[in-house]
Amino acid sequence: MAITPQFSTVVFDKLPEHDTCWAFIEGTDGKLYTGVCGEITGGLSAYVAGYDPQSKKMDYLVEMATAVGHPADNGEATHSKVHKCLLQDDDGTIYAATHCTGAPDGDWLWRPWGCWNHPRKFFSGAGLVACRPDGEILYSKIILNKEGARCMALAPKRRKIYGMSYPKNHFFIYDLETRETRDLGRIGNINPQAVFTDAAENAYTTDDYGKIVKYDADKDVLYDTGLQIPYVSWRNGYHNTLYDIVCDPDENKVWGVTWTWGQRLFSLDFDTMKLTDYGTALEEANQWSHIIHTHVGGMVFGPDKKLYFTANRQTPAGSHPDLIRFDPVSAERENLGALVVDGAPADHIARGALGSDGCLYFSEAGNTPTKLFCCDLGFGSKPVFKNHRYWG
Amino acid sequence: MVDLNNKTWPSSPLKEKDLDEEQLKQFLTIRADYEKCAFVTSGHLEVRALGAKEFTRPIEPDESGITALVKHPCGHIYGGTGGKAAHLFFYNPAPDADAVADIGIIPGASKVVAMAVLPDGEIIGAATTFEQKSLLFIYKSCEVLLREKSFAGMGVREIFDLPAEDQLFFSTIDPCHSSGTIEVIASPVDGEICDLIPAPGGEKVYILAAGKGEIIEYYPAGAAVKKIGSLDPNGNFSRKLALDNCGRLYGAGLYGKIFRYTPESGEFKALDINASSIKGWELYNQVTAWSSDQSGEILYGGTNAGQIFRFDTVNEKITTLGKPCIQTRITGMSRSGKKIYAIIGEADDCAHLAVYNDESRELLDLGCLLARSERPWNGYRFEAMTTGRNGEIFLGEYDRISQLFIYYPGIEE
Repeated sequence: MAITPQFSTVVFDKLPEHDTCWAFIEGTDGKLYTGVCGEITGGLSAYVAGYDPQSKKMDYLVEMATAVGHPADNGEATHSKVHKCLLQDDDGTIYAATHCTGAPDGDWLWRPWGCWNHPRKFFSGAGLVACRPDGEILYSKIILNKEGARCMALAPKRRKIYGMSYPKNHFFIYDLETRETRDLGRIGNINPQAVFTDAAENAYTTDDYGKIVKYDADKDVLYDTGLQIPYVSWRNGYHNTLYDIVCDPDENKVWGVTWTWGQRLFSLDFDTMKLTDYGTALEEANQWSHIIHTHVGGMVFGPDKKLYFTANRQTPAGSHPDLIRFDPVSAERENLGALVVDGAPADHIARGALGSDGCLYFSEAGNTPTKLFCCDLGFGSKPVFKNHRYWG
Repeated sequence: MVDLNNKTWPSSPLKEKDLDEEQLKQFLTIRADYEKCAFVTSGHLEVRALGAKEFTRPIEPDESGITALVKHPCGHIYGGTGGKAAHLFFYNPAPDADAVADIGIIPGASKVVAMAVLPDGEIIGAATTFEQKSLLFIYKSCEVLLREKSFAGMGVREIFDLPAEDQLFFSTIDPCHSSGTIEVIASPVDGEICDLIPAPGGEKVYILAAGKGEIIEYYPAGAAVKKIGSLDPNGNFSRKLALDNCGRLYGAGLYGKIFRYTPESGEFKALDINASSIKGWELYNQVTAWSSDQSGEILYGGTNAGQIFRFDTVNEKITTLGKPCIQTRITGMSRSGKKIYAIIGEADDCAHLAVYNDESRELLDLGCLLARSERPWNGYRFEAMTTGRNGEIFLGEYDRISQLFIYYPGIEE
């Protein structure tokens, strides 16, 4: 018998001005970790927070701006954002890197191009914090020059972090042993929203046209694979970059969705390097003027090995996400309904994670204060999957 | 763990309770303006990939950083790149082209440092090798090759298909493209070459060598070499040369001191003038780009501090025009009509385009470079600039993936 999803929220009520959670990962200790960001109000710092689904306790581990040596009230563009740049090593060490777009204290708007050389309002560059789950900071370092870190992936065996910079869209490698950053250069103009890895810890991401760019870690080369993630026929593929991507629980493949109008669901099999297009993630919208109208994200495999994700739908009441269940075997989709708690719908969902309590969790972006949505489908516990997502 | 109890937070002005409608509308207007304000809005910018993907193979990433540009009298723009390999390419502005084609790799070269057109239409260039030495090269376009062509023994179809120029032809049936040949010749200097500029008449080329800034006359026909002089014994000299309308050669040494070589007299002389400098930065002062007015009597220089100056070669007088933006290092200057354009920015900056109007004496920051066509592209780093035959400015981007930017100045009011 089908179980009706029970939605609840975990509100970051200690951070009343913060408005987005972009990174969201399942910790090795059963906790869920996220970066709580403040983008609309100037002078805020991002926080790394850990939530224990068992005890229902939220801990705030690190205030990023202070930790990287650039306090939020120092007049510079703030370290107010941890985008898809929150990672955890197998030993529990958490790596969080900051992104830019948050305005200096007292301002409400900031963009990197105009402030690149501003003597006060510049962004110092992405700051990396390595910390323990109890909040102990092991070290911090500015790892990029004046750029934010848009998305990152961890290569635990190679002791590397792969990432993309913003706004210049350079692929970089941070060496966890030498603590040095290496810039491999620009891959395009539009930032992808994910860097993902295969079992050999090669890195993958997409360029402006959704072409898959691979970093071959053994050969130390970055190249265009010639594969292009799918896009709707009436577009030319531009800005059809990667938004969210997760590991298949068992098979050597990943499942992803594209960004912007006409979001497609696809899989990439690493053994055959075959892309499979599963069509528009939910439904084609007739009108589109903003990313939020059809946003798709929050991908996570449930204990039933079904793929869950959220998809914004346009209704007279606005554009808000529904929860979708996708069967990888039959390719059937089922709409489980809107993410609404106490009459308040979610704005849009960036990432999903599976809690140790068997519930699906989704990190929200776009409301103040920001929150996690919890969906209880009655699974009760979290199974151990073969594959683990090492990216933010 | 972080204790957030009793923490006070900044608040967005958008959340002020007593904001009236007019204030909110102004916030929205400010936001709309702010998103665009950093970018060039006067005139129009476009980009061209370094190879028309419709039927040619573009220059590979890591090999496409544009380091030299030159306008050919036929209207084509020729360029050189640097990276894991150094390429030559051309841009053909014809209506059936309006695109770039890769000519090929210059064997042994890691970076083209300078290119110039010789009177016979050939292009001479200098490049740095992977061993940090130098080489020269001669490029013969299809037009040059056709001049030298013998048709003896050729069939009609073979003759019919011979290209008369370097071209890209977006034919509705048979697209094609053609380019000439690159010949590498030995460098007349031991180390690297910084710049190369042909003397009027083209029988000789001035070469500025690295190290002590030695300037030599090089005669391509016989590979003869004559030393002119050095700019600085400790290497504190500017890496660019300039010519005035009388064929006199200029360089700059320590503190930006201007040197002049007069070929008729053979005099190589340090003038009693220095390139403009920010006070206290004199030791670092270098002229990093040159241009001239229409007469060629007036030279314009740009420095590594980002200053622009006017050099009256007749009266030997330098006038500082100013520093149009906060960025430093002028990497290219070129004239369009009575305006001098400059591109300014360090390797890790967001470069700005600036213009000096010699009539209004106005020096303007035009902003960061962002184009929409032929694909959306932000330009961050540039290393070369030249002017096309219609007054459009070509800017060479230098990145892992680089585009040829084309700036069409706005119509004069």
